[in-house]
Amino acid sequence: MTLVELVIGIALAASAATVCASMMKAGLQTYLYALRQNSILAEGKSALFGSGSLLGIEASARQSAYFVALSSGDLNLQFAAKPSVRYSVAYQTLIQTASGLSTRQAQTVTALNLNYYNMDDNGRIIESTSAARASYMTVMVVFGKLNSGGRSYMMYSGAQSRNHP
Amino acid sequence: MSRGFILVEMSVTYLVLSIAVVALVPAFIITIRGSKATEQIAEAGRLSAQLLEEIRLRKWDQATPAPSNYIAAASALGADAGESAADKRTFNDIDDFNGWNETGVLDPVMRPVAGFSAYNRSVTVSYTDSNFNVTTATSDFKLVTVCTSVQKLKPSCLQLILANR
Repeated sequence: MTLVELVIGIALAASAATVCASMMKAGLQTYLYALRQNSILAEGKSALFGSGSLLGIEASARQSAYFVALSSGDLNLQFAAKPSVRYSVAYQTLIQTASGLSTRQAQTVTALNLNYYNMDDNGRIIESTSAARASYMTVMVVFGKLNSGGRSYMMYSGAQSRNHP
Repeated sequence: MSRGFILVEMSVTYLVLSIAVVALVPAFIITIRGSKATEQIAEAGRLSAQLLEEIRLRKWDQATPAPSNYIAAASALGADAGESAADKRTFNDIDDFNGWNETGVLDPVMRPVAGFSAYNRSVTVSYTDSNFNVTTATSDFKLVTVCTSVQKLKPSCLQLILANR
């Protein structure tokens, strides 16, 4: 009888411990999920709008005069009264390069997908075939998975080159 | 007798503990849903801003000349002759977007943007008086409202007033 009680007690304790461990794991995963999303939102804000005095892609494109090239993987901007700026991705980092100086813009970015547009002679939007004519760009910023079970995030935005002649 | 009572007590304790722990599951689900909703609301705001930026590439009115200039009489809202209300590539002024709806996100030349099929965007354009109150009469101000909805969340709407120019 004592042995049976002991075995039942251990079984109950083990099952309760398993349930508790599962819940702790779920709690931890929930916390990490929320943490990852907060991080992505912050990095996304930095990538698109900027952080401190460092302008992001969208904010910078609005101030630009020209898109230097119709590159789908990086963005080259020419301004009326300041040095050109390039946004590119390397080693899961969005990098802003201006005047030969590279600065980290956002982390965990795995790709930029850019498209360029301009208005035709009838005032209708078309995809650009010439960088000099392009006046609008859309950008998809892709954030990578942190682990094999994670997911990637995408942010889609667009900006008009406000100073385009 | 005493040993049996201890086993029953222990069993009841584990049972109550397990029920209490399992009852925490909805809290984790709510937390994850909340994080997901935060991400979706932020993305919906960006998508509204992107479409608004795309709309403002167009001239103010069908009658607006190129280069743009003030016009004495604005035209009726909505797609004009020769334009398809279902194809934004044919739109050449901002009020052509009045009544625009897109299921999933479409880029400026109507290609679906991968990863955003759950989002829907809609546009209304109306005239406002000089106090920016909506009016049915034509005026020198057009109020553009872009709303992006996703699942059961409240739509994220952005508004912009564009003046006759």
